[in-house]
This record gives sequence, C-alpha cells and structure tokens, in this order.
Amino acid sequence: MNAKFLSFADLDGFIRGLAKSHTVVGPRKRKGGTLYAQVSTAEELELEQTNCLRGPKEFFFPQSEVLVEFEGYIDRAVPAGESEKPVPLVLFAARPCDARSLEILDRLFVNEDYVDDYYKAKREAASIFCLSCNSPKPSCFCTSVGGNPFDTSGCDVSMTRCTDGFLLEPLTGKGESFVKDLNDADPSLLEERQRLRKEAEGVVRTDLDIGGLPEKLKNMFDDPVWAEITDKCMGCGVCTYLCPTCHCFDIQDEAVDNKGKRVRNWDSCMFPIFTYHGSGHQPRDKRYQRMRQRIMHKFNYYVENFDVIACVGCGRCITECPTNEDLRDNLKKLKELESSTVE
Amino acid sequence: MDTKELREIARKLLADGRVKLLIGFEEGSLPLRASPAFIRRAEDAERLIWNSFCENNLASYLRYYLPTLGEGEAVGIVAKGCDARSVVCLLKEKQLKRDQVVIIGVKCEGMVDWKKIRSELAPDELVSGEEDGDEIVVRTRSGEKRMKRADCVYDNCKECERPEPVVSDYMIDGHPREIEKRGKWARIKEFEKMSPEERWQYFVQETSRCLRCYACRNACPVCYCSECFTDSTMPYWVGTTLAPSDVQVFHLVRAFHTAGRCTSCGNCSQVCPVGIDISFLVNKLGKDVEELFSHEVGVDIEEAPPLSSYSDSDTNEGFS
Repeated sequence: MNAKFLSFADLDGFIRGLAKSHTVVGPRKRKGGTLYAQVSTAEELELEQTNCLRGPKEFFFPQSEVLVEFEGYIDRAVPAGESEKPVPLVLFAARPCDARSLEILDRLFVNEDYVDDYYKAKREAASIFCLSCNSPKPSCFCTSVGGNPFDTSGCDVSMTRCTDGFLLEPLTGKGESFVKDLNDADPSLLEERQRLRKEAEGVVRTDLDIGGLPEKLKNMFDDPVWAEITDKCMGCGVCTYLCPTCHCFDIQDEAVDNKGKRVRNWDSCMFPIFTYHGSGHQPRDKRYQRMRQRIMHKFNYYVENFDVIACVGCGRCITECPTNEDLRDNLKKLKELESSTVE
Repeated sequence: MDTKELREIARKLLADGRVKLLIGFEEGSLPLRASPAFIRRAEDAERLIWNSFCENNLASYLRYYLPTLGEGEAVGIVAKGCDARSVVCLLKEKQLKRDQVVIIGVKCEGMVDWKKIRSELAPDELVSGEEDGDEIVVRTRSGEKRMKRADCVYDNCKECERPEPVVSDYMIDGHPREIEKRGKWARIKEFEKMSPEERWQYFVQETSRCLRCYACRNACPVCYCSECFTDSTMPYWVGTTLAPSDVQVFHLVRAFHTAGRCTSCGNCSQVCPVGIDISFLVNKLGKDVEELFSHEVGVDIEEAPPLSSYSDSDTNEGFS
C-alpha cells in the first residue's frame, strides 16, 4: 500500500475515529511527567516530547497482574481474566525505541518453548503506530544498540512528522486497515523523511560502539570492574522499572482468610531480595553482583537466548537515575577494558 | 568557591593515606547534573567539582563503605549542611565512629531543581546547560534561555536554616549565590492549615503514582535498616502489589521510622521518578518531633536521639 498523509488538522478526527473501536493510548501529560495514557482526542496527546517517562511494557506486562484467583486451596484456582477478551488497543505515537522494545519482549513471552497467554492476548489485540524521532535527546543512544530514530521494527504504521502533517507508512495488514481511507502522500514527503532521518541520525550520540561486547562479557563475570562501576548505584528500582525491556517478575499469593489471588509483580535485580532463596541463601547479596546481573542480562544472556540485545537505547535509565549513573559510560568501560581476568 | 582548594584537600587526604576513599561530586553526563564521585587515587581528585547540581546526600553511601574499613581507616566525604547533619545523626545512632569519617564541609547555597526546569521547558527539551553566577543558562531545541538561579532552587533548600555544615574537619566556602529564604517548615505550616481529611486526600493522591521503586528509601541516609520491613518475607508485613493500602503502609511506616532522625535534606522527593513530594509527610512528623521534644535533628552529637531516649521532661501529649 502507498504511503498516506494525515494533516495536523485531521489528526483529531483520526484519533476520535480510532477511539470509537479501540482503546487509544499515547503520550499524555500527567502529574509527574508525560506517560503513555488513554486519549480520546488529539489535544490530549503530547507529541513534541521525545519519549515518555515510562516505556509501554505496562500495557502488555502490567506491574501487578492477577494470574489466578482462588478460594480455599490453590488447586481450586480459576485463571483470572480468562473470560474477558483484551480490549483492542492502539498504541499511538510510540517512539521507535519503545516499539522495538515490544518486539524484544515478544521473544521472551511468546516463543517455541513457552507462551505466556496473558502477555500474548494483550499483544495480539494491540496495534502500534510509531512516531519517528526528528530530534533525539542527549541521552538517546538507539543507534548503538541496533535501533535508529527512524526505525520501524515492531510497528504496524510508521509515522513521520513532516512540515504540513504526518507521513503514514503502513507496514502490516493491520496497519493498512487503519490508514486505507487516507489520501496518498505526496512523494516529496518520502524525500522529506529521508532528510529528517539523516538529521536525526546526526544528533544521536555515536561515540558508543558496543560491537563484540556481548561475546566479551561472557568471560568477564569475575572481573573487578563490576565493583568499580557500581559505586554510584544506590540500589533502587528506577532504572529497571522505567526500562521498556526489563521484564523480571516475582509471583506472590495475596490472600485474606481463604480467598486470594496469585499475582505477578515487576521485580528488579537491583533489589536485595531479588533471587533471595527460600533457604536463606542470597546468590547476589552485593550491589556489584546485582549491577552485573542487570548488564549481563541485557547484553549477554538475552543475546545468547534470544539473539537480540535487551536494550533499545531510550536513555531513561540515564536521565532518571537519581545519581546520573550512565549506562553508556559503563558499557564503554566494559568494552575498552584491555583483557579480562578470566579466560 | 575554589574547586582547586577542594581538590587539593582531597588529593592530600588520599596521598597521605588519611582516607581510603573520598566521596564527592564529579561532572554528570547530562546537562544540569552532577554525579557522586568515588575517588580512591590522589591523582583522581582532579575529577571533583562543586556546583549547584550536587544534590545527592552523600551520607547515604557511608553504609556501603564503612564495613570495608580496617582499623584506623577512614572515608572522606564532601558534605553540604544537610549531608553533615545526616553524618551527625549516624554518629548519634552509633552507625559510625567520628574518626572513621573525614568531613570536607562546604557551605551550601541551595541546589537547583533540574526536574522543575525540565518540566517548565517541556515539551521543548534541554540540550545543554550550566550555571553562570546567579543565573542558570539552558539551551533547548528552540534556543538559549537564562533563568534566575534563585527561582530554580529546590523548595526544600529555601527552608534550610543550616546550609553550613555543623561538623567538619575542613571547611570550604561555597559559591556565594543569591537564595530566597522562606524559613523552616514553611510548606509544612501551609500543609497544616488543611483539614485532616484534605491532608489524607493529598497523601492518597500523591502516593497513587508510586511505583514502589524505593528510590526514596535508598537515597535516605537514615534508611539504613539491613532488612527493610517491605523486603521481609518472613514475616510478610506488607503486600507486594500496587494496592493503595500496601503502598500507603510503606510510606507511612517509613515516615514514622525517620521522624526525629530525618534532617529534611529532601533527597526522598528529589529522587522520586514520578514526582511524589514525599518529604511533606516526613517533614510533618519531623516538625512534630522538633516541637514536642525541643530537638533539632543532626546538630548536637552529644544529645541523645529524641525517640530512643527517655527523659522526665518528655512530653506526655497523647498519653494523658
């Protein structure tokens, strides 16, 4: 299908149209920051800011999700939400890094060995419109981890903000169904997109080259560098909770009397009780061991298991870290380290 | 202030082996940010800086490094007024010995609230920026802007009456800068005018955004429990979900636990990724303790902590 055009003036009608049949979620200004939140008009959207405070994972993998409800014994449990079909969702104007993060999460939650029905159902009911980044921020580093400010992976429709309106390029059948009634875009807009892309690529910090790092990390488990890069870390969950690809969780039973719920909650490898064994043994009781886990998981284990780096370079862990610990500096240090202690 | 002087003191302390580690600030990687620095070699003292972005309370890090000290070894710390009061608090609570810490005190003129600047500029975005005397210069996508530094200082700092460290081994003058002084507890006095119901609603509203990332707890110099009650699984004190009751219990218990120990540094609010001003809750209890027990937190090393000591003159309010 040809690329389409949506003028700024027509955006509101388009959003209202989508909202008739879908829950539309897009960047919206909220107390405390811009977040992905439900919108029903164009006015509610905040499309200028580069990215939201939090990634979109919460719409597919909520921070707290009831898995089963039970009364009496757990063997009489009833899966929660089985009867309800997830509402069709449009994630509108997600940034390319965020759209890509979903594709990365898909590999964990829906693969040959394991299918997470809770995630899958919500994911299948969702369509992603991504908005290319005309002006990336100083904290952005998508191009260092396989992304691009104009990347389209994970998108059903790719949007570019041009001078007079949006260029909409449908990339899937689902995407086509949303834009089929719009007018075709003038070919000059595709040229404008190319120009904007070049400009944006020039803005993203490019002095971080992590080529070869995933393989190198394999032999760095016992390197003293981990303690060195952990000094600043105060062990909170800001980086992991705001990260669009962090996905560790903990399952707990929340029960009162004989009625209860089995809940899946986000967990964070930065926390002292993360992977705390029932025996009382804690395999990662030092801060540096937890920092190592976070970096290893993203840049080595995930690559080995799912063939992709579990980082999209959105920079949230850098901008929101209370101590301005910079993942890019740490990756650089790890990459540049002469040799490793263990071969 | 003379950064040279700060670096020279730090360099000497490290070179002479007086301190094993020096905790100060270095340039951050983003505009309007500084970042805690951990200096172990004398030549690295050159990395140290001092500016209006040195907001973290460095006393929070002592708990990680004190256990690594051998006999006669010490950690050096660059301390603003609030950091120094937190050190005093830790001394009183016997978390460290006085000779385990070398304090380079800096007179503070208030720290700059970069999140406030960021939200005022939004949706425009900060590309670079720095301080220039009494002004903050910011460059955004749409151009350069100058703001009065005094307008950008944390509300909390405007209420600080002890910007100068109460205890130090070396003392350095800060940069003399303009700052608007509002008087201690200014915001709490306003808050107290609200009815209990209104206060409760405010608390419920604010904490409804909480993600339970525990940045407030981890940034707090007096939240040093080896196991926080929220992390305990045996017994299981508090639920793990975002249910309002669980989130509220965490904040209420933390506030009670820090009352009479909190130095109102404001770090808990500064670090919150969702902008919850949780310090209002802690400060309300802090003000109550100050009034009930005539105790100013973190000032006098000899004075016993108000809530862990008994005196005949203690108030009986609430028990009569």
